[in-house]
Amino acid sequence: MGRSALTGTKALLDVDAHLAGISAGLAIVCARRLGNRDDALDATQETIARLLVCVREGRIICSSELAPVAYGIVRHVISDVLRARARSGEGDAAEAAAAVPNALEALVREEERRAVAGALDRLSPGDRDLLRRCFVDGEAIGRIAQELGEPAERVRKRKARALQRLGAALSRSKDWVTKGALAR
Amino acid sequence: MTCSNAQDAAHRYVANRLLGDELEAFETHLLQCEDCRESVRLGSAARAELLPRTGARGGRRMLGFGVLLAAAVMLAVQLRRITPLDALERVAPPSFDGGAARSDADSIAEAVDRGMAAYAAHDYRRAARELARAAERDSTAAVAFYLGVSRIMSRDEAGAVRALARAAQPPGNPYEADARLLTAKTWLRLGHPDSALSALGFFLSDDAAAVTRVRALEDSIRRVRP
Repeated sequence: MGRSALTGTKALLDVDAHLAGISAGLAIVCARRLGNRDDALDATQETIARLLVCVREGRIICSSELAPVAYGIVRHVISDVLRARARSGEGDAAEAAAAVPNALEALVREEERRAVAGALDRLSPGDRDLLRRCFVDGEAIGRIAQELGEPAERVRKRKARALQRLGAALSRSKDWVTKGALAR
Repeated sequence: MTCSNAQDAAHRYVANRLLGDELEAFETHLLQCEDCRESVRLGSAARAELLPRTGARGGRRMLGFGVLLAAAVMLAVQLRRITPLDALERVAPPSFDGGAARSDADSIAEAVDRGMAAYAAHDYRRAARELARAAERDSTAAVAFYLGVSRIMSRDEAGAVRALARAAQPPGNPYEADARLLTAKTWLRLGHPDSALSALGFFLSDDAAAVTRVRALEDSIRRVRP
């Protein structure tokens, strides 16, 4: 039995175990880079199709290679979409390649936003401000900790606890991107 | 990238602050880590609620917009060197949820609807064309505002300044603050920081949050202008 056939079979089994997670991750990346749900879904599907070809041809030997290879593929797919947009006059590639700032928020369903809004209201003002500084302003934990005069690890734990409380308001969903937002 | 340091990267990813190698490492990690995808999900939902708004929180009519967060654009594939002014002039098109810019007259409303449908689909050139037609007969601030944003995204800066000047009138309308912020950013794009400061300089409002955002941009421009 040839090496490629053997490794291909083994990898296919692993792909089944990882495909949902990789698809969700790819959809996030595509949405961020393309800013358009339909394009993101198409790019995700195209990437998965190319990934499966790699697996079938035995070019992926073990499951740890799946994510790096998938990421390499998706970057090419995204570049192709951006170049096509530039050719069709929808904007220059460099500008289009900059992420659309609200793309990720657009992936959050309305009912989830409402649930999160309620959970945010139940947080202490300090924790709410911490989440704002993290997720809106994008400040590094170290800097926030320095300003608050607290150890970074404590701030990190506060952030994790605040996120857990938000998470309790939402049901955990592995395919939240593809099932929830991209499909609507 | 391990999950412990990826958790720190997750919030900066959601806020569009990751760059270069760090961005690529995090996105690769994201493909294999459900916990980090969950952090991105929760963080995105939190961000959507925590972004500064010009209207009532969570309201469907108003723009939900942290226009000032324009600097929060991912820079990973930008080819040119980024200067502080480059960051300030970045514009995030406010999202449109389908309920804002309606006109009373049916014929104009159709043009507005076509324009806003194109806007929602990120087809800013078509949105600019349709909204320009509507704006010829509809002088509301909302139409002028979205026309201004569409022109910015279509790289028609001069046209954007004209439209946004209309959107800022009359003073006190709900679009005034964001119109002024965008006008300033457009002037920055055109290489005129002094004009950008002028656009912000006469803003007075009872809305403390809006005043804060305008003054923050004003301060930032003063700090970084050549």
